[in-house]
Amino acid sequence: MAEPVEHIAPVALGPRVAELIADGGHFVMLVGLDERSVGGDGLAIEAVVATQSGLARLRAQLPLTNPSYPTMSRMVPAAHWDEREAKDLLGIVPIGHPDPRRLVLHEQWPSGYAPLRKDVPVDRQPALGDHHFVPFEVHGEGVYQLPVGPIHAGVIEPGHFRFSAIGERVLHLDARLFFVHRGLEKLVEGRTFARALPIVERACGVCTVTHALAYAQAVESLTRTTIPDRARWARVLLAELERLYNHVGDLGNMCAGVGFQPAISRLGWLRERLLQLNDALTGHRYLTGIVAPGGLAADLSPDGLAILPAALDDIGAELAAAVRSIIRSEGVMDRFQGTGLVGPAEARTLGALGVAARASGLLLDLRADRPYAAYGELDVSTTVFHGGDVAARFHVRAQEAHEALRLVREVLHEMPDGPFRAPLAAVPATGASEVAGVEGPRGASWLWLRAGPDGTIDRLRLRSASFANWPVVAAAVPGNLVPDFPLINKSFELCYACTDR
Amino acid sequence: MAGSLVLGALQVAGTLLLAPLLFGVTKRVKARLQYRRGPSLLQPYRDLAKWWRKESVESDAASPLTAAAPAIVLASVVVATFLVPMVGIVPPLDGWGDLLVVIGLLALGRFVLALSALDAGSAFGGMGSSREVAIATLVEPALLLALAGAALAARSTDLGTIAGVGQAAGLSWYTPALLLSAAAFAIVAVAETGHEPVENPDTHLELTMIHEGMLLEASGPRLAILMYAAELKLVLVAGLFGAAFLPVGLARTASPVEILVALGATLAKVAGAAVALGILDATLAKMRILALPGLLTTASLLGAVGLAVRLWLPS
Repeated sequence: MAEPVEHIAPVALGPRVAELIADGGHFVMLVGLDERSVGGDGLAIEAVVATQSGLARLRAQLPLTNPSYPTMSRMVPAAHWDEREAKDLLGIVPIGHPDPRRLVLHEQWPSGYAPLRKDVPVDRQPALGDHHFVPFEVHGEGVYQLPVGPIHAGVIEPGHFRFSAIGERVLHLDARLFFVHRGLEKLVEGRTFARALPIVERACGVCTVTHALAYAQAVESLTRTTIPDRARWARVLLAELERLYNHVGDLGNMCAGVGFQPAISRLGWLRERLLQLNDALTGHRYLTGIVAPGGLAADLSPDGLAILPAALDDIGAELAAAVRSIIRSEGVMDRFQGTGLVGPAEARTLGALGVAARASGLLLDLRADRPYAAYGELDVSTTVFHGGDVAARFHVRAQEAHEALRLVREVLHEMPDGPFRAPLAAVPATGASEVAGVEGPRGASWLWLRAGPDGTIDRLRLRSASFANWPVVAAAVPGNLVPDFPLINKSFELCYACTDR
Repeated sequence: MAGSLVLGALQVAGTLLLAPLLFGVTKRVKARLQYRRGPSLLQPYRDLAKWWRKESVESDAASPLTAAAPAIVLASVVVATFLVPMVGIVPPLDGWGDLLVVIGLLALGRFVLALSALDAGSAFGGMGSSREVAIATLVEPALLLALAGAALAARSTDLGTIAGVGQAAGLSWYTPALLLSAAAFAIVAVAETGHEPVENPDTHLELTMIHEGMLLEASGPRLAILMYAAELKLVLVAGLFGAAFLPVGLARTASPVEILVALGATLAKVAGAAVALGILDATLAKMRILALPGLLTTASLLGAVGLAVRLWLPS
C-alpha cells in the first residue's frame, strides 16, 4: 500500500491537514525527520492523515538554521503532542503552539539538545541541569493542588498527575508522562530490520504483537515481501489473543477502580489462563518473539493449537458470567455510569482511538477500515457505544473480548497449513518510507519507517494508541470527583511505556 | 471485687492480644471469597513487628504533634475499649465513664489523627483528613442516636448497666426499636472501621483513600501504633455493638463456667463482626464518595426512628 509523499510548503501544512480532517479524514501522526542521512540538507516534518482513499502523506522541508513552521495544533488538536515531541527530539519548532512546554525531554535536559538529529551520536549523555517543572495550575479561592506520582503507592508505571481541585471536584488535570523515555527510536537507527525487531516489540510489555506486527508490515511493504497464508491467519490469531488478554485484564482493572473484589480476582484468574494459553502456543506468555518480518519467527505449537478450542469455550463462558455479575452489581454500575464523559465531538477533535473512540460513538477500527493480515477475509464486527462514559468503555471492551474469541475460533477453522515465513524479497532503496497501522487493544498503533542503506533503519516513529489517547484522559477528568480519577484512568487503561518509548 | 479484677484482666489481655488477629480474620474471609488462599492469620502481627523495627521518617513540615499523635490515638482507643463490658458485665474501667465518654474518646482519636495527617504538609494527608472529618460529622450523630436507643431502653448511659439490663431482660430486650438502633449502629460501624462500601482498606489508589490517606505519612513505629489502634478500634466497635445490642453471655461472677461462656460469646461476636466486614469487602463496590452522606444519613434516620418508636410507642 505504498502511498506517495506529497511535498508541501511549511505554511500550507496545517491548513491542508485540517482540510483533510474536515473532509472526514483522521489524523495519524506527525514525524520529524533529519533529511541529511538520505541526501537532503535540512530537516522535514511529515503529516500523515488517513482518508477514505488511503493515507495522505504531506512533507514540508525545513531549513537546518531555523526549522520552524506555523503550528497546526490550533486547527488539529490531535497533533499537539506530536508537535511538542518533534520540538523536543529534533528541534523543529511549531510557531504559536498553544502549549510550548517540554513533553518528552523534561526541563532538566539542556536546551538545543535534539537527540534524533543525525549529528547526535546515540551514546551522547549531555549534562543535566536543574529540574524546573512548571505544572499548569488553577488559582482561586478554595482551589488546591494535588500532586500525584510519578512514584505511586501501587506497582504501576510512572506518571505525574497534577490535579487542581475545589473540594472533591477536579477543575483541571495536567498529566506529565515520558518518565521512562528510553530513546528507542534513536536506538534502532542504523540497525538492520532483524536486529531492530526485539527493540520495537519491547516498546511495551502488553502490546508486543501490535508493535511487532506494525513493524513487520512496514518492513514487508518496504521490501515488497508477500507473506505466506498461514502467517497471515496466524497473525490475526495472535493479535486477537493479545486483545483478549488485555481486555479481560482491563475489565478486571476497571473493577479494581471501584474496589469490586469478586470480579477483580475472577477476571485476573481468566487473564492468567489466557497468558498460559499464549505460552503453550508460542512459548511466551506475552507473545513476544513470535511475529517477525516475513511472517512468523516460529510456527505455532501444535499442542497449543490443540488445546485452544476447548480452553476458549470455557474462558468464553466464564467471561460472560463474570461480565454479567458486574453488570448486575448496582454499586458498580452506579460508579461506572456518567463518570469520565467524553462526547463524540471531543473524542474526534482530540483524536481518540480504539476503545476510547468506540465508546464515544466513533466507528474507528483499522481491522475494517484498512485491513491487514487476514482481516480482509474476515467479517469483523466493530462495537460502538454512544455513552462516552466509563460504562460505555466497559461494554465496548466486554463485547470486543467476545468478538476476539469468535475471530480466534474462525481463524482456527480457516488457517491453512504450509510455510510460516518468507524471506524478505528485496533491499529497499535508501530513503524509501512506509507507514503501517495495526488495531491494538487500545486502538490504532501507527509505525512510520524509512530505510537507510543496505536494509537498515534510517528513521522509525511509533505512535501508539496510548500516545493518542492520553490527552483524552486529561480531558475526561475535569468535573469529576478526585476519587473517581483512578476509575476513569483505568477505563482507558493506557500504557505509559508505549507512550514514552 | 477479686472476681471483677479477674474478668477485667481477662478483657484487658484478650483485647490487646487478639486485636490484630481480627484483621487477619477479615483478610482471610475476603481472600477465600476471592478464591485466594490469603495471608496467614498471624500476618497483622508480623506487619506490626516489621514496622516496629523500621525507622520513622518525618516530614520537614512536621510539628511535635506528629510525634505525640500515635500515643494519643492509641490511648483514646485503649481507654474506650476498657470502658466497654466485653467479658464481665462490669467493664475493666467501671465507673470511669459511660457511652458518651466512649463516643468522645473516638472523636478525640479521630481529631488528633486528622490533625497529625495535616501536620506533614502533604496533599494526601490533608485530603484524607478532610474526608475523614466530613464523614465524621455524619457518623457521630448517627452513633449517638443508635446508642441512645439502647441507653433509653436501659434508662442509663452506663454501658455496664445497659448490658446488665439487656442480659436480664432476655428476649424482651430485642424490641423493634432496639433492632432499628442496632441497624443504625451496624452502618456506622462499617464507616467507623473503614470497610466497603465506605472505604477499601486494601487499596493502593491514593486518590480514593480516607483513613488510609491519613496514615500515608506515618512510618516505622508510628505506623505500627496507628495500625494497632485501628485494629483495636475494630474490637472496640464490635464490643460496643455486643454490649448495647447483643448483651448475651457476659459473666456476672468469676466462676470458671461463666468465664468460659463469656469468652466464647465475646469471641463469637467479635469474630462475627470481622467475618461480616470481610464479606462486605469481598462483595461490594465502593460507593461514590458524594453518595456516602446518603448512607450515613440513613443510619441517623434509623437511629432517630428507633428512638421515636421507643418514646412514643411504649411496648
